[in-house]
Amino acid sequence: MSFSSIPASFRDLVLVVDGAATGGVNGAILRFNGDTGSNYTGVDAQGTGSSTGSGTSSGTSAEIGVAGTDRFVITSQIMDYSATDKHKTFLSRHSSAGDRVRMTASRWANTGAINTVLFSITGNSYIAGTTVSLYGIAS
Amino acid sequence: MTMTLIETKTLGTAAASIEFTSIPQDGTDLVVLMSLREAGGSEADGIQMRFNSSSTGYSFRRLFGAGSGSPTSDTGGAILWMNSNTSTSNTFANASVYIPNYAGSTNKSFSNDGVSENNATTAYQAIVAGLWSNTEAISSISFANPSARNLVAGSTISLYKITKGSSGGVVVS
Repeated sequence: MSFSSIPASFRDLVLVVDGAATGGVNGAILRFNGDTGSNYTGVDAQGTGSSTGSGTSSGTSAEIGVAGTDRFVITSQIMDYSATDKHKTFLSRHSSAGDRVRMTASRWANTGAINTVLFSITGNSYIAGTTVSLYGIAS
Repeated sequence: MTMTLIETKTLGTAAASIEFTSIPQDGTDLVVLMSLREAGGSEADGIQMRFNSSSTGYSFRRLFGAGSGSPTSDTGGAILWMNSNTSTSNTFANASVYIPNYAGSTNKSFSNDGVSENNATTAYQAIVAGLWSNTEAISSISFANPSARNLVAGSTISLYKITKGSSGGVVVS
């Protein structure tokens, strides 16, 4: 799901995903302005209900959750998305009562204003009824 | 996006629960913000959230820390550890809950963040994933301690609805 032509008139963006994947255990990722360079980094902590863990990531997209067939909600708040003097940081929460709970802090190493947000589940699809919403928070 | 206060409830005297009923069905998502303290118990007590008076169909995954030692993950059902009479005076726990598509016809996922406040080593911070396996639209939400201990006066819960605005020119594909 891609949101493009995002106006620069808000302060922050909030992405909310409610649904599930059709199969497998897939990365739920964000990508901005079509940037497929290795410009995304993150650190996360998670609990599976029986174990805890923490990790880091870097690559061509920002992994903000692990989407499986268990229903989940993902929220991601992208601060100062239209600023042109800073890299973009965003805080994400992935909540799946049947799988795990996870928090991720991420950075897109680019000072450009965000005008396109791509949310994707790698290697799989959303189930019917999945909603992906993008909100703007006013200054 | 518009975030609109539906109602704030603040206890003038201690009470066993706080409940919101007749929730308007014209929003997209719900946000609950809480500031709570209980009369008695310990730092490990929690508060339960129930939709439409239903006590079944709930599942959870939690990640929490207690101020010392390693974090823990379990499938417990409290959404917030509350401050109790054993915690620092005049301090209240804080929590938020985000419930997307509350008026829709799918099972209801929700996300919770919470922290108890205490001027001591033991204080809890948790993130919780929840699911209510019920396709009913949410029309009421109640909060109560599962051990039936009262919430103290000054405990406050605010319920907001988030409503989608116009696309603002954003193209979706």
